[in-house]
Amino acid sequence: MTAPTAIRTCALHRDFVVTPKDEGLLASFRNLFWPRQETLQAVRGLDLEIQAGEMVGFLGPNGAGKTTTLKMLSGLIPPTSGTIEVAGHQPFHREAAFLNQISLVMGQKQNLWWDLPPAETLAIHREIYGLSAEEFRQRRDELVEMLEIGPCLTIQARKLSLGQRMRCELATALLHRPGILFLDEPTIGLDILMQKRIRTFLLDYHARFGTTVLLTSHYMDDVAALTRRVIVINRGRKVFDGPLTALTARARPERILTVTFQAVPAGFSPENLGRVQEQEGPRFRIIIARERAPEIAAHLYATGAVSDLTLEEPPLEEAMADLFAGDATPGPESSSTPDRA
Amino acid sequence: MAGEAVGKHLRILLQFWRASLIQAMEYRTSFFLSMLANTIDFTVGLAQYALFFTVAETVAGWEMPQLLAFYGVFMTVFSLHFIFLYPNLAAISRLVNTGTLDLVLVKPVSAQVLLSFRELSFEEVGSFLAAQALLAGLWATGRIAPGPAEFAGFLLALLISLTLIHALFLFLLGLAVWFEKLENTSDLLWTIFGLCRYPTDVFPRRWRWVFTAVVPIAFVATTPAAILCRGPSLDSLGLGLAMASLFGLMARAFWRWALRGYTSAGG
Repeated sequence: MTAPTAIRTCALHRDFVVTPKDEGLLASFRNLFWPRQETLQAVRGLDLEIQAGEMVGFLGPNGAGKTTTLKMLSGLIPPTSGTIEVAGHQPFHREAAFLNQISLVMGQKQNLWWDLPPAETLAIHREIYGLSAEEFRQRRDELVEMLEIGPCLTIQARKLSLGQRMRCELATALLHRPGILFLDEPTIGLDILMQKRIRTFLLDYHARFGTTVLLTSHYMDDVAALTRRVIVINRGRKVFDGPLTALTARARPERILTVTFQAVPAGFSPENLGRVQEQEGPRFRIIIARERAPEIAAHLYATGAVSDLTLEEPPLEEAMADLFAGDATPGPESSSTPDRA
Repeated sequence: MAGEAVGKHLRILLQFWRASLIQAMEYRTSFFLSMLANTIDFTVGLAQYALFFTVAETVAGWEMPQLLAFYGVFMTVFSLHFIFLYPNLAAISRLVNTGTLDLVLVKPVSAQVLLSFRELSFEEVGSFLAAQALLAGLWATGRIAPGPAEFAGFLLALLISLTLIHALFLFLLGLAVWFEKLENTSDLLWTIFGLCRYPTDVFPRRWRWVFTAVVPIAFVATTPAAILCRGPSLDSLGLGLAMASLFGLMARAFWRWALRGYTSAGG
């Protein structure tokens, strides 16, 4: 039996009208009285379907339309056209029944009351989501334990480190146990260790509660660790939707072979295998065609001189960069419509 | 159902206000200094009103105890606005510009209620208490003698006054969301309060009409004070109720419309 659909969009479109400011005093004067307006197409015909309980990576370069999509899905802004259904609701109606089922975490914005300890913010959220004293105590204690934030609860938010604050933000966002979680850059600015702790928590939380998660992140380690399926958008359009492995295979139809010989066999010519990326004594790092990988590995082992051999996927960052290559001006497209205010 | 929603919002606001009080007490010196400064400010204002009567018997038909009662009513409305609404108006531009408004709008509560009342400022508590002491003193010494009808009429007029102030506040809140980069929206409120500082009877006749039927500032302090001192007027209360309902509905419609146009910062 397949899980019910948690998020569905059809031909989703969102435009923004902006007034670009040209350089110089004269241009500023002209803008004051005759502003030139442009329509930016931030999201163009986006179709999404995410099943309940899925954890999906939502990727794209800056200005691709990721955050705009998240804002439409969470009901912050209405679409220009197209349809959205999240947890059976149309988000922009912002019904309480819908808002009770979602949570939005934005790495660069905070829910915590700056001058107060997180315990106070949690108490406010208890009232907002109408939790009973027992529910509140049980959920808070559970999150405090999973996120290891016990000592942070009574310290003013402004005095917490970024990592501590982010973990408290997550506790606040998850207190009402949302069915759908929108995560926008949850590890931004955190050090590697803290990023890893947040990822471990998210995996643990997802396994425990089966929450549907849509994650945007520029840290590919987040995406690789947390999601199996990724949706990639560029310039407002979906360019990929599938397993992470397929994304790498499609963007980089190559694998990285690293071979170290006990002694380099006579007549060994690495150029015949692929593109040599690095050579250091008997160790070679070669980019080879994905489909030739088994044959090449078998051939090398057959020489009997191999002391170590590894095959790796190309880094996700490189795969993404390749996917967007040739699209030199990432960002929403615009159509200029001179206008008068 | 409606009662349940009111109860829920009240409980949420009580949590926010509790947090505001804890926050205010974090900065103890500032807390006490501002209370003291506002109490002194109130006293200086009171002395200014009393000074008028060194050169005149009445001011636009208001005798000294009545004008002092007017001052008490004006400061009650002004300080209530300052305690409940002002800090939220100051916060809205910051919320819009940083995009933090997003995190308010995804909560299953009325954004209008939350954004109107979630922060309290305790700086004007001194003025509020002083205004109540002034009104109580005028009543205790028999300088004003409101009976039950006057008192009930006064409370209704005060409700009308606060509704009108909230309507103006909501309109400014909507403007801040709509324009995104708009700051100092509170300046308009200061201008309005500047005009409300004296009974509308001091203005020429045609301006009195404007201040009653177009920009209804007469209902902010003049009408409640007049009812307290001179007895209820059904005409004034009826017109006040109509204006408060009209402005309240218009402000709410504008707020909802502004929220529809909110594009959210960044991303």
